[in-house]
Amino acid sequence: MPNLAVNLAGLALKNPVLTASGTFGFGREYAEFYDLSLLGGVVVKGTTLEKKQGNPPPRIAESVGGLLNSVGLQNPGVEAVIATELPFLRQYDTAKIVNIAGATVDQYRAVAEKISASGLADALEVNISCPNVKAGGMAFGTDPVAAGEITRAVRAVTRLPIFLKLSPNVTDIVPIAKACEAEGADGISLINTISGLVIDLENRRPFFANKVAGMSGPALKPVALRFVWQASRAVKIPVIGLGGIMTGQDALEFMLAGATAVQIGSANFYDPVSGPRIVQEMEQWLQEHKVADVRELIGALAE
Amino acid sequence: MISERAQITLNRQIGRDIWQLRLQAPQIAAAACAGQFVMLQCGTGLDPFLKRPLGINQICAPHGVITCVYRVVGRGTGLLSDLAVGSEITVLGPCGQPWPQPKEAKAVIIGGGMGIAPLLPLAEDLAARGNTEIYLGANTSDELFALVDFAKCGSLRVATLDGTAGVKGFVTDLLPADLSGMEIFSCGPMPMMKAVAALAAQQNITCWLSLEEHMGCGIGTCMGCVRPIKENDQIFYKRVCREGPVFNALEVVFDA
Repeated sequence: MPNLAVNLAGLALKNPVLTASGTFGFGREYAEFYDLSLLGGVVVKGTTLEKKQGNPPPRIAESVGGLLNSVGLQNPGVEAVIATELPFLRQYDTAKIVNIAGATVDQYRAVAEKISASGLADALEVNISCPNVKAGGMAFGTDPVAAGEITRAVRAVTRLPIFLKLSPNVTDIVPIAKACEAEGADGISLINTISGLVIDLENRRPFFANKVAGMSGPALKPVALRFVWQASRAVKIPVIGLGGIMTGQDALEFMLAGATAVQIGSANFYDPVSGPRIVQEMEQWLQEHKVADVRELIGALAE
Repeated sequence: MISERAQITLNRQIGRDIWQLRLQAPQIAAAACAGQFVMLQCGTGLDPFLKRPLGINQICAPHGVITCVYRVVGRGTGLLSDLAVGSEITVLGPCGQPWPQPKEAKAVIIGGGMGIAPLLPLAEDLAARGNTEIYLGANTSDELFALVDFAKCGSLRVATLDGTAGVKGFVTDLLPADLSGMEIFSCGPMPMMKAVAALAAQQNITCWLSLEEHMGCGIGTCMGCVRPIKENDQIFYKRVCREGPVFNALEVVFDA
């Protein structure tokens, strides 16, 4: 059996497969389909200081090879997440990573403090790349100074590993990744969704109330691979790769490009048992190719 | 909740753009209750990417079979109608909350258009109990289906807008003036359900509505299918796939 375990900034993962925030709720629904302990980790829905209603519907549109969403971080707020959602995950032997979001630096800091104090999370993923909220979100993730500022603020209040989730809606990812690293990030996750526009031709207007929405799914994979490859060569901290992963082979391509772990997002909508299936497919590929340890592939892209 | 590879045993046109799909899906058939729906893969590969939600029109657990009725409205349902008998597709289900058990002596079932589909398993469940009135409406006779099955379950009256079947007019025109002692179960176009909800509110009777929404996952994680729902005088976005599709009419916000 090939080794699938990886070390993600001190976090021991039984395999490199995590779920992507916003596609997995807080794990309850997928737990009806399979044992969440089969996953390397679970990254839960973006959590904000106060309860967030999210954007008015419609919120979902299909596109070729994926979908666009305009959910806008609907979540019950950090207190409810700690009280009613995170305790559910305790029963599973998998890394629990809480994605946090905010409109101001203070909000990020406050959510990070509360989640850390709860003792219910193994790491934080700091979402500075949500394209669907008016304040904060992507505004922080598209500017190296702001990205560094958020990283510093969260770093100051938690000893948990922190992973900054970055936006692909930038000209150059390198200075942003470097700013996060310089301010104490333990890793970076990329990519979040790509900004897109859906048009309602009959009514001659944008389909979404927010106009621009976030695109995800297998159509994005080459773009995501490029970002992971560029960012991982620029920083020493580990990279978590995501964007259109549907199969074990896709996941291994991200690892070759430089990812230490991967996240499964839209694939969960296509097939609810994608997570464990992808773990199995990775194992099978490694076995067939006589690779004893998945870590051999990390950043091993021949150039 | 179950993800099952299901074989198509029937996929035929039964009306104007209306198709009947029968699936061998024994695990879902065994678990499904009246009012629940399934998420159906409409192609055989990655395209279309998202499954489509379809109400369950018939549940036959002993034979492991469920039947759905769908209207071809776009690319996804168009591709679904192309799938041959014998094809296998992935089906998730049973999704959502079922119709509740009626508390009143008389159940009134009101269906319009494709909203007729998820009402049949309810009518069948209530048939043994008796005392069910069924009112179905559509634009035209070609859009009505399952009338024979409904007729076995209670007193059936039909309306069409063009008068090609039953009474000419809206299904709500058929309803008795006095609804006291009755409990309504309704699914159909929003204007119809709005009218039904208004009648129920006027007469202070319980009314259940099954809502429809575009969906991403169908299981409650994508937050894509929400509708504004009233709860304690506040409005929240609730998931049609998880907290719904059946809601108390008093909670439904029509003009959002």
